[in-house]
Amino acid sequence: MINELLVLAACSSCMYALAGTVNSHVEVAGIAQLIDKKFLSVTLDAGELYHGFGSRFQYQNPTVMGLAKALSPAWLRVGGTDADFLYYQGFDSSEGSSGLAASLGDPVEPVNRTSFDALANFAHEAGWKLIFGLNELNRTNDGTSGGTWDPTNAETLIRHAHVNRQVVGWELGNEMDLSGSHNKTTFNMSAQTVAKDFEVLSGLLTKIYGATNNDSYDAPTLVGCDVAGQLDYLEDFAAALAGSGHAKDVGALTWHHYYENGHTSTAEQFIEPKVLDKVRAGIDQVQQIKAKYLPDAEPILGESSSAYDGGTYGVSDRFASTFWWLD
Amino acid sequence: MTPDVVPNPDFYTAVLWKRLVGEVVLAVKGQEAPLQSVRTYAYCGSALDGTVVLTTMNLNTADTAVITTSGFTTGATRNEYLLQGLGGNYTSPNMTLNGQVLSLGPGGALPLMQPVKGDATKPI
Repeated sequence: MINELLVLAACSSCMYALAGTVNSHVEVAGIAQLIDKKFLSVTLDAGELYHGFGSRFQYQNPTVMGLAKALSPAWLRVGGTDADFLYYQGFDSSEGSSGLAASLGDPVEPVNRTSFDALANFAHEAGWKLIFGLNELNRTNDGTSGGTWDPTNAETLIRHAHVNRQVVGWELGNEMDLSGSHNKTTFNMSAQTVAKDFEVLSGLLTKIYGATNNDSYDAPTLVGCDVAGQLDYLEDFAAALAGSGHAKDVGALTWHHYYENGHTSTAEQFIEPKVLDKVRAGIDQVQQIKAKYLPDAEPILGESSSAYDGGTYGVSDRFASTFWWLD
Repeated sequence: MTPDVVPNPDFYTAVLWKRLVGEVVLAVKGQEAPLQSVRTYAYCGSALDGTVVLTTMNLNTADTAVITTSGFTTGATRNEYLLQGLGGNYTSPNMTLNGQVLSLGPGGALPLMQPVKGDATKPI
């Protein structure tokens, strides 16, 4: 039974304009699909951990906490290019080895326990569930080829997060479809290489959290592989996992979508139907990849906004940038 | 948000979404074609009390959108949340809800963001 109708309308027209009318008729016809209560969520760039959490992001500001709580329940994904280079220090006596990652990134402070716990506590207090991207570029090779991920350093962080129940989802690597042509690496990371690294992480999570069981309170989801937009790469990743019998290892299939370039976008673009429609093809393709290779994984648009590279000042912070959210 | 912790307009849109929209997406006939300048999506409300939420967009800067619906019944009134750029300007840094500018109050308090009652027998 329908007993109330709510209408949330966003309108780009001037109230006093003398102009025409566009008529539209819509018919509501049954359930299309279900979405999670956390469907609308937040990514925070892993760069916020470069010099200690809170050096830039004002997590202790009560107003920031109030804004965060207003978006609860949500996932808080901490990831991005910087996540690939982070080194975790002080989580246990061994720490694991520091491979390629530390030598490729900008000079940064390691992520220590105080910093990580501050992040996890912020998420918990806000009612956000933490998804954290691990340092896939910590690798055992000479830097000329993909090599293999060295999980020893990440294991110290995962064990800490397991004991303290801080993370519900782990990612490994960010936008590796841009490796080799991006400022992050001098070598190519193939989709098959990333899939092999995911198998290593999956085995590690099973070892730490116990047998994989999505009903278990503690079992986190493996999330990936966060491609920048090359969905053929995502398909190769999914196919490799399925081909090696690891289709069930990944709980969420993620890709990133930005509508425009942050250096050049204009407000006019964000009220253009053809710009807003750009996301459609990606959604369709990811659904097909899921159906073909990873039927148990949830497709998640893991990172999105109006324009990449931080948005466009005077555009992404204006009313025009509210439409893509609703679309 | 800005470095001074002033939320951008899309923050308030996200908050309204969180408050109103539930977990069930409803199919909407008449919306399948690409490149539409007037768009409508439908959801079950977050309260799971039979409420339907329509989110509509008018991307035209001059034309008025008139939306009629079918496929469900309504009461005499509906709750309406109309979001606009201040002064009807889509490049404004400020957004209005039913004509009132949205901004944080003392101590960072969120504005109330309440709907207005509309006549459910009329087109949107």
